This record gives sequence, structure tokens and C-alpha cells, in this order.
Amino acid sequence: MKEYLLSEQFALISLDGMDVLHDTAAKKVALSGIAMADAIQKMISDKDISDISSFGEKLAGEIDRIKSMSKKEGAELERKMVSILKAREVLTEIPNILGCDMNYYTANVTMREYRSDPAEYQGIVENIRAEILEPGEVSLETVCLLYLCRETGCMHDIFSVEEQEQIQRRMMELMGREPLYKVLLETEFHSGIRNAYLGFLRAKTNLFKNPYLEGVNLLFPFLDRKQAIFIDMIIAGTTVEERRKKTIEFLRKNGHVCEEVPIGSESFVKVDNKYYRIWPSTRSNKIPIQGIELLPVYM
Amino acid sequence: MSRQRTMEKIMQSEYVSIGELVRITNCRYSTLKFYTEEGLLEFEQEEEKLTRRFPRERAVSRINEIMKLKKEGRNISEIKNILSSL
Repeated sequence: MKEYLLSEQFALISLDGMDVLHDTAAKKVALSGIAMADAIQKMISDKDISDISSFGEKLAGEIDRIKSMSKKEGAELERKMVSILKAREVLTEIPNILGCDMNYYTANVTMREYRSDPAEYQGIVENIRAEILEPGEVSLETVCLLYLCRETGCMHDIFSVEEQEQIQRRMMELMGREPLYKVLLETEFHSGIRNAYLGFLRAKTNLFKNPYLEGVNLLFPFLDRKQAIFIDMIIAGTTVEERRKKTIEFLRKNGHVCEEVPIGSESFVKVDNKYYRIWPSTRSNKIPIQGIELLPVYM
Repeated sequence: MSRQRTMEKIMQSEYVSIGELVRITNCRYSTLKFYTEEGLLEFEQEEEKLTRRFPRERAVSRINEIMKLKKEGRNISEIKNILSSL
């Protein structure tokens, strides 16, 4: 794994799966997180961060600055960070998975999204997971990344519901042990509306632990980075393996990195850095169209 | 309060944490945890709630051996038998 600054690590996590061309709500949140990561990076690079009250004041000042960040400043930050990561060959632009949905695909709609290098993305995420879920010391950088993920709603993308509960307990424990962590974790920089949106995503993740409810995601594709899509194909007389193979072939043809990942008794499909389940389905138009739903997996 | 070590420092040290082992080998945390629980990776731990310390060189070469055997199609119990007979 390469060496990254805090802001670069967080950008690789938060920009993954984000729309390149449009200014979405999720991208705005990610950019404010990147700006915050940049500010925290500078603050923790100071030799002396033992003055907790001064750290808290600086943090509050940075939050005020980031909250009032203009659209232009956000776009400039995105351009700067994307060019750094592209130069390091760890961020690419690929066609958006929504473009593989039957309605978009047949209408020739082009959408693009960012994809973080899968190995680097996995390295960063697994390092966070290893530090926070293992007994013993947790580094300041990991606590900062968890804080940024919490504030920008990336937690449900990375951690399972059980892991999120463990992390919450661990963070409480760390806050009790380390005053700096307490100041950091008690400072919130998301807005009320964003808070409601994050609450909705959390509730959705909990709800979709039941695989039969995952299709509801079709109603809210714009709220999440994982998007449920429908790919038309002949289902009658095919086996699960044939459908999986055909789906992977189709997605690869459209520029996505796909692999089959067996987890327990089920096989999921990893598309770019997200996990999906293949579900045979039919769309009812004038005539019923057979196909598969590619449903995001919430573990 | 600890700080994340640079790759250069990790590569110079005798012992590493499981998070650092993830960074060096690009393996998943759950994979390394599983190997540890199966007794395939040795570690030192002063107390139950303290960080597990893995001897870097031995752990990395052991992980590479396991990966190689997995690519050959061996399952975990076969890998355990092979590695314990070495």
C-alpha cells in the first residue's frame, strides 16, 4: 500500500462511486469531509497538540470556514484532490453503474463516476477496521478517519451494522481515555438536514439487512452510492451461475471491475468497491421483460 | 495517543500490529484475524486488552506461504497440516 496524507486517504474512501459530472448532495458532503481532513491534517502535524482547548478552538474555526465553503471553492477542492489522486494512479473515472440499468442503457445516457483503486481502497479501509476492531492502541489518524466517515455518512458503506455498533462502543471508550479524541468526536460538522439524511441511510441499512427489502433501494437510488439496477436478460431455463456469469460479462463490457465473492453460503458480486446480490426479476411494461436486479448488499 | 507509522518505519521494525500487517500484505483484516485464530500466525500479547504484536518478517513469509498454498487449491486444514510439519 502507498503512503497517503489523511485528506488523500479520506478522498479515496469518500469519492469512490461519486458522480463526476454533477453536483450531488452526497458529493457536497464528501467535499466538506475532504476539506475537514485537510484542516485536521495541518492541525495534527503541529508538534504540540497537547493543548486541548486550543485544538478545540481551531477545530471550531475550521468547521465555520468549511460550512460556509462556496460551490466554487468546493469545485476547486475537488479538481485539486482528483488531480493529485489521478497523478498517483489511484483514482479513475468510469461509467456510472446506473448507466447499466435497462432504462438508462437503452436511452444511451452517459454517466460517469469516480473509482478508487480497489487494492488501495481495501488497504485503507481494512487498516481502519483492523485498528478499531482489535484490542489495544488506536492511532490518531484512524480516529480522525472514523470521525470523518461518521460525519459524512460513509460508515454504512464500509462497516456492517454489527461492526458499526462495536465501533460506537470503542469510540466511547476512546473518548473516556483520551481528551483529544473527546474534543474531536464531540464536534459535529454536518448540518441538520444532512443529519436527517444520514439517519435515513442508517435506518435503510438496518432495514435492508433483510434481503427481501433491498429492492426498496430502487425507489431511492439518488440517496446512496450503491444503486440497485435492472439488467434485462433471458431468465427462463437459466441457472444462478449462468445469470451471474452473464451479468459479470455485461458489467465488465461497460467498464466495471467485477468479481464473484463467495460469502458464507451465498455468492455476491463485487462491482468496483461495492458488493451486490443478483436477483432474478421481471419488469412489467406493455409486455413483461425478464432480467436480473443487481441489489446492493448491506451486511 | 499513538500515531500511524510510515511504511518506511514499519519495514524497519521487528514487530508490527495487525493493522500494519494489513498495510504491508494488502490482506483483509478478517483474513488475518482468521489465520491468527487458527494458530497460523504467531503473535505476542502482554495482556488480553493490549495490542497483538506480530514478528514482521516471520508473519509476512507465513502469509505468503498460506497464499501460495491457497492458490494451489488447499483448504485451511490441509494448510495447517502442511505448515505444522515444516
